[in-house]
Amino acid sequence: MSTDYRKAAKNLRDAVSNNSHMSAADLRKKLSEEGVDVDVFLSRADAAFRKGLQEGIRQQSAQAKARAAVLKGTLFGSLVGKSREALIALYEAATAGHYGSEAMARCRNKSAEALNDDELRSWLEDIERLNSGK
Amino acid sequence: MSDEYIEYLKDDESRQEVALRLFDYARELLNWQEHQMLPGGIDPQDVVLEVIKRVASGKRKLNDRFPYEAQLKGMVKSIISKLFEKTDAQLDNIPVDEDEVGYAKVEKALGVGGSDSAFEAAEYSERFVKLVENHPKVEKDPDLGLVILAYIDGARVPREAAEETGIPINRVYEYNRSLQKILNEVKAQMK
Repeated sequence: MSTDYRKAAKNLRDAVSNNSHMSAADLRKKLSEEGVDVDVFLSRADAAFRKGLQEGIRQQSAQAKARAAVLKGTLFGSLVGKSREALIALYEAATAGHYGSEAMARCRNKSAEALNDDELRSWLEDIERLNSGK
Repeated sequence: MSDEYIEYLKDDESRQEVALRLFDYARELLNWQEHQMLPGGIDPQDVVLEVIKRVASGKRKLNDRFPYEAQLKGMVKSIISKLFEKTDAQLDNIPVDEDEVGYAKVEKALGVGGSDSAFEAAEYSERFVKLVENHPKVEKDPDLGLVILAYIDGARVPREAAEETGIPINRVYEYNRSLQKILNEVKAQMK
């Protein structure tokens, strides 16, 4: 049977680079003996891991904001600059079911009169978001 | 789940063990000499830190179907290969796709893996294996020869080589260190 030398060479190289059987203490000892400042390396690794986690959180938050921005205005149109009367009119239209049963249900037990303009605007935006179910 | 592995890495001891293993792997892969640099003034430590950062941020998702550590080693290997292939590559811009099949060969990138031609690569491998088998240290120590044969036949770790040959595991660990030196000598011989 002929030898598959490519496979044999690969197996040999893999065998010596395979360190899955080594414990942290073994690795620390080996690297120290090879002149590596293991503590410096590990503190850099810790910092890289923390930085990665923070980047991940920032990315998730940016994606959530982008999603919210896309949803904004899909139900009531742009709420920016709308007068109080216009905002209350939207609320009443929603209460009356002009924007669907979901929006109508969400207006129940809510007094628009008790909210200031910004709160009313923000509440209508919340309804949009919740109504989209995303 | 990939998220569970991130939780695992949040534990200091677990994370440090993985980091050490990846760093050792990167150095072994390159037959690393201190003060040597990869293209762009990068060293194996930077590559390992980049892999850790990518996994922690979720920029690179891990595939649940394969062992996580093997995937991390694959990323290390892939990034190193690409650094050699494209010497102006920036470390944080090197793509390592989740579904990347058959990472570029580091040996080829380092110019020690023979040519692209399958025939020549086979010839290169044959010469490589024969030089290892006929190395003076191997000829002098039949047990070392048996361990090498066990690896050639597919033993992946010292425990398997020990089971295959009946040689005590601690002795196999010592042979592994000898084998590492032999491979480095043979690689240098073949450049």
